[in-house]
Amino acid sequence: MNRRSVLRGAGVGVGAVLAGCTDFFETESVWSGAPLVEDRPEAVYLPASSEQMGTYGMQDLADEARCSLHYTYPHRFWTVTGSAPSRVEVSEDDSMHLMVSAWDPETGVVLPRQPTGTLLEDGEPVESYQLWSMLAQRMGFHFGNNVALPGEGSYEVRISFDPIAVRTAGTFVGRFQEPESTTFSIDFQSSDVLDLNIDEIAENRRGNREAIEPMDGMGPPPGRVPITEDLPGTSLGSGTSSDAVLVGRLLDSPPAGVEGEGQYLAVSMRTPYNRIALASSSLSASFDGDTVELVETIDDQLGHHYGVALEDALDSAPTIEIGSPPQLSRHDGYETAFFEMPSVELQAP
Amino acid sequence: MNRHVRRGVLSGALAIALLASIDVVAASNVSAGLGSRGEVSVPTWLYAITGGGVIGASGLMSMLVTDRELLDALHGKRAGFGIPTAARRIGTLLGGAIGILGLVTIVAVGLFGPQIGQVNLGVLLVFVGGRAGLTIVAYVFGNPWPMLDPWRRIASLLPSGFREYPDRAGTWPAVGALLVLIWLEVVLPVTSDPALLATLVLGYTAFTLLGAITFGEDVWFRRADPLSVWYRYYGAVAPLQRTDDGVELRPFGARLRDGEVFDDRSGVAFAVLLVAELTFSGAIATRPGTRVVSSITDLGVPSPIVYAVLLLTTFGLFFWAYLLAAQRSRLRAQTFLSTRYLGYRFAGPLLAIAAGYHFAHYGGFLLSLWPTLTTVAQAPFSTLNPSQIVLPSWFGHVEAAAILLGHVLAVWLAHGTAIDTFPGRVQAIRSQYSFILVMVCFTIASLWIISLPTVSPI
Repeated sequence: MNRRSVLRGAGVGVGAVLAGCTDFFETESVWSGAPLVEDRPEAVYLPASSEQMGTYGMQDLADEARCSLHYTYPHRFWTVTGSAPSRVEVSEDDSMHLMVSAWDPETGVVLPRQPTGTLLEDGEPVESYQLWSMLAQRMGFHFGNNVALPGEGSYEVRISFDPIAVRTAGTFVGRFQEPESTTFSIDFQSSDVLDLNIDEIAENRRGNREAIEPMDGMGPPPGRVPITEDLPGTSLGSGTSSDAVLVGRLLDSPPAGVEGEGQYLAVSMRTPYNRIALASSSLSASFDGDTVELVETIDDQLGHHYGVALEDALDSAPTIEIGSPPQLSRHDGYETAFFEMPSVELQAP
Repeated sequence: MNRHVRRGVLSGALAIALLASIDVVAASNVSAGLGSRGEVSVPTWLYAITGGGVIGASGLMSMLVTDRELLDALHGKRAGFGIPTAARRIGTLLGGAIGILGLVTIVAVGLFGPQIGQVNLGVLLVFVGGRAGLTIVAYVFGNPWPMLDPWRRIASLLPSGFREYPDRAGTWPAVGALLVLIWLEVVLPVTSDPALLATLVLGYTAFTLLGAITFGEDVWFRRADPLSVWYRYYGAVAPLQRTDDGVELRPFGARLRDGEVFDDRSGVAFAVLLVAELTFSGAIATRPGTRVVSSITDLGVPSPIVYAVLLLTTFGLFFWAYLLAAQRSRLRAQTFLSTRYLGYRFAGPLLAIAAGYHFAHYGGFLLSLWPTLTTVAQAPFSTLNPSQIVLPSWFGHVEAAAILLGHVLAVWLAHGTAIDTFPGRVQAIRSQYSFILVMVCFTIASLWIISLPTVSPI
């Protein structure tokens, strides 16, 4: 045993003690402590803060859809399975929160088409990212997840979109039916993320039943649906269910591309305050003892909605049942709303 | 004698057994926004028991040890270690360099680094490093501040001493400055706005240097600089104490019995403020605390004013209770010694209480954010997602134990002081009653505060 081996032994000892220290205690990301409003209502509410976001640019796909890639601080969110949210904490190796949006540049209608992300370094795939369809107050409807990168530097992010998952109508008929993909070149620097602001919301407003105004005009559209008066057809009134607003319209004929003749019953389900379309839900309508399934559809006039062509003219008030709440992951402010959704009775035409 | 021993041991054991049987005592710490916010539940009956435990422990000691020689043998142990001049010089140089580097880092990273409190090295250095870490080092090991103090290093290079420091000002300027610092910590977003914190540190630098230049370095840092007094007082509890030629190792708190830590009423006020400050900062982060504040702000009074009034009231109340105890003590002991003298003779134990409170409020905070601090320190401008320790649920026991330990030490020291001060044993024991009563009140109040779940102050 010489001096060197003693030193090495001591080094190993100190290392073991230090490792024991961090092994002994459980650790978590410092972002786990991000403030969450206390006493949240079972409704849309104003969260504790909102993050600014940075962009990695926009790209046009071959089928003329446009998409964008944005980033912000890693943050918690809630995934939804069935009718229960489950909280996803920021993990210790998350580098940022990545967001993908796809929309029709003509109409600004946001397209529910599932993307997946692949991180490439020198052309070789190094990570693949699951991207959840998400609902956030500022960003609206988008796809995103907290993602880990191997380190700072230059990468490519390939985003592959599935064909659109909902029925297309109006000028959208036959479009977005093929898988598409595009690649963003990014230079990931932690300091770029750290340059983004986190706007704190005044303590006395947190938890109030309102929502942060979505970003409109710059970057991706938040996926808002038209105000009630701008929807085509005649009004069937509206109602709320677990803070979601359901607006009923009756059209004399279905929009182009929808099979069937006769009247078309359309229900636009949206968030209160911001009118973000609540997608990925299953709705049915009951009237005169019959029940019909509504089909999730995008149309250039109605926007995102759930609709069905009726065989017989509607002459009584339809009741809209929500079979499953919006299967969208939620950011702060939306995670307590749109779950236990009672049916809504609309008006007779 | 045997009866007393048995009773003392029994009450001590009872207190320990009850402490150990608490189910859930999760940690709580909020330094105005940083750190994790744990749920806490300590059963209410614990407070009564704790108060009883303190009295029991105090009874045990008073009855057991009235023998001066035994007391001196217990308190008087000391082992001195000489430090060679060369080593001291290197230490001073190194400490000064670290201190100045720390100050520059706080300002530079605060102004130009990420503007997010929990990943900004400036904010972490001030609150995790200074308010929690160095303070704990000061009372657990020994006062590190004279070695590090960057302002003193800078001041020592500047001309100084243009005015005579008024003697009667005593330590009052430090008391006033600390009150202002505590108030600013509460009313300004210092933990979430790093640039603001850096600006305040710059302001503090200007204030300190101006003071040191005007009145002279030595007197300023001994009397008027709140940070120096803060660390000096907390450091007085520690086992390692500076001597002329090195350091000496003594039992915890033994120096507080020497009677040279305080020499006037303003120093006592500072010690009381240390206890009051922790009680205040803790109380306003609880639900009853925020309710009191919001009920006043609802009347239209701006919250900075409410906080200022509450802080001054808490401090005033604590100081008044302490002075009252000194007065009562004088009457009970039937002594010719002045109330003023008794006041600062018995102030040492307050520092032991403050240390216990401080650990209860900041021990978990330091542990939790230690990995955050060390990670961010390696890359202050590009650390985005550092880790923090999740405080285990048993840490709540440690917090409660720290408060108890501080009080038991305080009672023990007060007893020693009483034996030193009064010639008669009965007189010595009677003199302590009022101080013990005040301490029991402090204990109950502070245990109640750490038991409450923390919320963010308004």
